[in-house]
Amino acid sequence: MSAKRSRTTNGDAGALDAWLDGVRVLVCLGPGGVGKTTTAASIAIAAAMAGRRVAVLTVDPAARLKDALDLPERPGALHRVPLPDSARGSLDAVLLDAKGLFDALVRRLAPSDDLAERIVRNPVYRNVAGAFAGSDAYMALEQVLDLASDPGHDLVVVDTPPASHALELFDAPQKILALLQSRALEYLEDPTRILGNATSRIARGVLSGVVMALERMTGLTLMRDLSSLASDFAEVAPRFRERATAIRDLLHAPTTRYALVTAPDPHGADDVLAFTGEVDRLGIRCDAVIVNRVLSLDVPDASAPPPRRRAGGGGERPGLPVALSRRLVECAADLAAISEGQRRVVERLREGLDALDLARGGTSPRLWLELPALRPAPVTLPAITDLAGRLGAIPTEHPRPAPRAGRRS
Amino acid sequence: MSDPRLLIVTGKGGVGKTTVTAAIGRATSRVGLRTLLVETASPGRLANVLRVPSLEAEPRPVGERLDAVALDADRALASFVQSLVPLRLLSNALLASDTFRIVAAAVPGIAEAAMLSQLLAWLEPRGLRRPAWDRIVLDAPASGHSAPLLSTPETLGGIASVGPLGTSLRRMSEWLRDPARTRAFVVAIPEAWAVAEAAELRAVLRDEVRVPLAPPIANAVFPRRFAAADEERLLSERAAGSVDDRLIAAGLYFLRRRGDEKSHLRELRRATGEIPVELPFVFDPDVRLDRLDPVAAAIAEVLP
Repeated sequence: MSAKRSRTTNGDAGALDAWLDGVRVLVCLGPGGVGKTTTAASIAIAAAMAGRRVAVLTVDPAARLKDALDLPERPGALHRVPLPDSARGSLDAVLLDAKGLFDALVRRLAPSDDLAERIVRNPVYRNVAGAFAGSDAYMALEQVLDLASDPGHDLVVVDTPPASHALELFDAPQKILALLQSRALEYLEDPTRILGNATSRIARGVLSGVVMALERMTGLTLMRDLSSLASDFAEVAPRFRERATAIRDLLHAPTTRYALVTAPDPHGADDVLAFTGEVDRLGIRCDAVIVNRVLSLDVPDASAPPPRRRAGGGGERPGLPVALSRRLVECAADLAAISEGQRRVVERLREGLDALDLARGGTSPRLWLELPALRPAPVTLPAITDLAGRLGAIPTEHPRPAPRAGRRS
Repeated sequence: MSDPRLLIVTGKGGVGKTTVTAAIGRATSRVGLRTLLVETASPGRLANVLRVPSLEAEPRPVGERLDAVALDADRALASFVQSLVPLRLLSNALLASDTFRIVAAAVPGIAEAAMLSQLLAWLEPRGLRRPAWDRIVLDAPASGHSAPLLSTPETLGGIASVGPLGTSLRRMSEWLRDPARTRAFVVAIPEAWAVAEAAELRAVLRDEVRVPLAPPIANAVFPRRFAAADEERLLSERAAGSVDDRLIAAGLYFLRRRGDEKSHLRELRRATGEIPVELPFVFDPDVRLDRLDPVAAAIAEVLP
């Protein structure tokens, strides 16, 4: 297939605008390294330019949005991002500070200061809050909940950790809720109950031995600390449960929408499809797909004949030397190979997502947008602001299925 | 054996860690070293490059002297529990219980510890058996998550100081810090953020995790096709309209991209204090092992 296609040259931020109408929370999902942080920032800027009062949150551990938005060192605080004068809305950016927030949250929810201190000082809590993979994700959602209930913003754009960790994001409230269920907490005090009531005494005996072995390996204090943390936590549990439930509701609210951000890399499609499949099983659909870093260069067909020296003309303009023109052809062929690879990835992605919808019984069509690959990469606020104006529609090569009513089944 | 045997590949997401892992495997297996490639994140990518349907929890051959395996946290934890429990029925019941999963998840770094002890089992088989591989290449998680994995022996070691887990974490810690046995390759692409993150990650790995580092890897570097003077030439040809505009545009794209990349390569060198190893861009959309030979040849020069 020819690499030549008609492309929408005008900015398509209007389509995004319409799509964002009535949306309070936009979650950007996607694999690592596709420019999700930049894309989230550029969507936030586009919305702010169009009049929304936007807050953008990054949970990226490498904190790269900080550089792009020129954020101050202090994480966790809102920072007003300076926009061009033509902006009709406003943009605040905030960098997630998972550790600080977790402590603060425990202190806020604990019925007494003593209890809060005991929890925060528990040696296992330190590790749980610092190293337990889900806590970053959970704290991100805590912050999203705060931002979303703040009347100062009417749109919250969320940048998420890379693919496999984004799933933790959706699991986080469930995990916390599950942990807070008193039965689980009881089990921590007598782990042999894990097997329930259906097993024989011998089985229980063996299991008790295993749990003891686990204790020996992990160190006895770990189990003791864990169980005292569990009983301390039981007192904070009801209020945590309220928060976790509110967060879960927010994730599934009709005013919360999801955008899949991806890059047309050779590996891209499989990764992204596996990811969206998992997200789909959690009842979440990405209603927009943004393909970032599309090579937007019109390259001649690789099969086209090499450029010829211009015949005649009296010799004032001898044309390109053979060596140089050969190199140009090489360049064009290489770029055509990149374009072809990108086209294949987008096509696969489309087919895969369509198949997913089909299995769900059909849903409304997705918004497909693309962002060009820019050199140098957009790393400054003006460059990202400019990027927002370059959102383009992805050219469709065959008609899409007719839209059907109902966003989620 | 005194040669380094554990090669860890890490870097920002999307810089081509999997491609570099596969290229290293291609390079080492071809010079006669039995090599095991270990996938830890982004399931499916390595299998895709190696052209196999999927990777399993047990090492499988994927080429001559080349094996590959998926190191999955859940499965590592399962085999860890199974090694403790005499009856499969009981270990399965344990693994299937929600409460056990919550306990396991709440134990900081337990999954990572299980992964590392599985890795150790491949590096150092029990008893008198010789290691099956001369090189083990770990396709490690992206930047933000590789440091926690590699520093698990320190964070968890404080708690699990006794018992078999403590022992294997101590041994793994020795491995990770021994320049005679381990090298970490931090991969970047010639772009501003990837370079900044690679420099940051190298500092963390060197100062906090204390893993011996290989020179920085600059992946997917565009080839040099033009001299600086060619730009003017191309611009004047474009103005004259003598050649297909799109060809000129392709040439200018290469020229400028190369120029932009060079500034990032210089920055990578400045920020790390070492000369980066440049790996060529692969234009072929079918990324697969036998097409990675130019990449393998470039990285072979710095392989221990």
